[in-house]
Amino acid sequence: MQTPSGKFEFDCETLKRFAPDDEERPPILKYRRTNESLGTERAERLPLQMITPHPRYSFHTQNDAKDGFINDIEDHRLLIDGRYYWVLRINPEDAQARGIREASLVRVFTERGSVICAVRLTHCARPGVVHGYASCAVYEPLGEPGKSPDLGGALNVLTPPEPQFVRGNAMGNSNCLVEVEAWTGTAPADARTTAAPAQPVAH
Amino acid sequence: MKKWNLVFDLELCTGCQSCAMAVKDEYVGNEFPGYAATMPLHGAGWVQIHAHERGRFPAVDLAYIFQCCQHCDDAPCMKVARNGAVKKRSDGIVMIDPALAKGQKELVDACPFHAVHWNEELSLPQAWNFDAHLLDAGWSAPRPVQSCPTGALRALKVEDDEMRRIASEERLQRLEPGEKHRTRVHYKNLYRFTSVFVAGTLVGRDQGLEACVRGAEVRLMRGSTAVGSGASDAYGDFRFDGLPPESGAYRVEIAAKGYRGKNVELELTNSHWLGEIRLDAA
Repeated sequence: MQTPSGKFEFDCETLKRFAPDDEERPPILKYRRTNESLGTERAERLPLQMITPHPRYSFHTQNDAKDGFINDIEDHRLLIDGRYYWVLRINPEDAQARGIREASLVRVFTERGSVICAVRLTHCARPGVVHGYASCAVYEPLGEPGKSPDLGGALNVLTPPEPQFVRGNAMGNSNCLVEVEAWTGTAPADARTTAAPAQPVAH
Repeated sequence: MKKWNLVFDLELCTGCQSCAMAVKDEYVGNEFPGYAATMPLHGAGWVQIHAHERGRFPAVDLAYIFQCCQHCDDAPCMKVARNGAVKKRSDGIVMIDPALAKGQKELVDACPFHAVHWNEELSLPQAWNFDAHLLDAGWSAPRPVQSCPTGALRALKVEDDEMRRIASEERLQRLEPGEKHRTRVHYKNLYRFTSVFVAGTLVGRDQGLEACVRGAEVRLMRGSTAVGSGASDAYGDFRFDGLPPESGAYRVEIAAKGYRGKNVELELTNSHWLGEIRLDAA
């Protein structure tokens, strides 16, 4: 093993040399609350935790939103009023508390931005947690880029840009405090698809 | 005469959609004269996989169901078709002829499995014909079967007697109303689509702390008859599956070492979690 002792080190020699007083990554691992924890003050405004794993039906952004038939996979995107929206999953209890119906449009937001998604109600998301895949292939702001809701489904707009610790390279976006509300705005026609606007979603 | 059959196992499908995508890949933009016209790029696929969720958090079951033309031996679409537009091949495959069926929208409504799709652009009813053009060219299995990474889909070309034996041995079922129409698509572990479950979690105390009750004997009673029995697992969880929905009154009887027995009455409508059931020390 390529450690100074040649053994698995619970008390890490190299970290002691590199950053012995780093509270974000101490030489002996210990639990530390994330900045996106329900225990923080921001959770009063943003009470849901969003997880954004890798997408299931595309390889990162590859194959997504190229007007291919992957668009028609109902767990990938949902066709609503002629536009294929990225899917966000929410527990029925959380949806009901917010007046959100199955297969309707929602705005999921943080102070960093907001994204319009199609919502699916599922008990596979526990109450308090919403789930949507990372790396959709579209960023399509309704108005000024960076300052208006995204119709494309780029949930990465919402996740924290800070790394897990300052003196290292690990991304710190695996969970994220958000709020979700029903969205009643109107979207312009989707130039990316040839799907007929009135086409119902297959069930 | 050996005939084609399809077997789909709900326990093995992970919902990856490879079968549905393979069929789109085969027919979108491609036509096979005498077999099939092109499939629309968007909209309902001829082969579909749909998620079926039962229960509620934390007792949830997610399964996937495969849907396509069921290749009925007694096919309702054949009965309404004019000009011999739907044919039953000697190998069991139901074929909608892409030329003769033009304009015959009534085929769509005739299918009790919603497996015939209307192609607006071509004014044509269409269904998945088992990739007959590939089988006739010597393929050993159609593309959905070939693309399935878990073996959830199997294509069997066997005598009907042999298929009946396999169906009985593996307890295969048909989608409603498949018995009536003698469908050739068979389903294994269909209970995850058609039935409901009752689950619960047993909580006791150990050294002054809350604890999961493991190994409790749990019986599901209907009146005085036990319809299920089992033991709670390391998390105190138990589950009785395969129950008919809307089937009325049941009683769960719990007997655990070191605890007083407990009965829980319930009225079964849909899949149901009884919640945390607290047991008192004996």
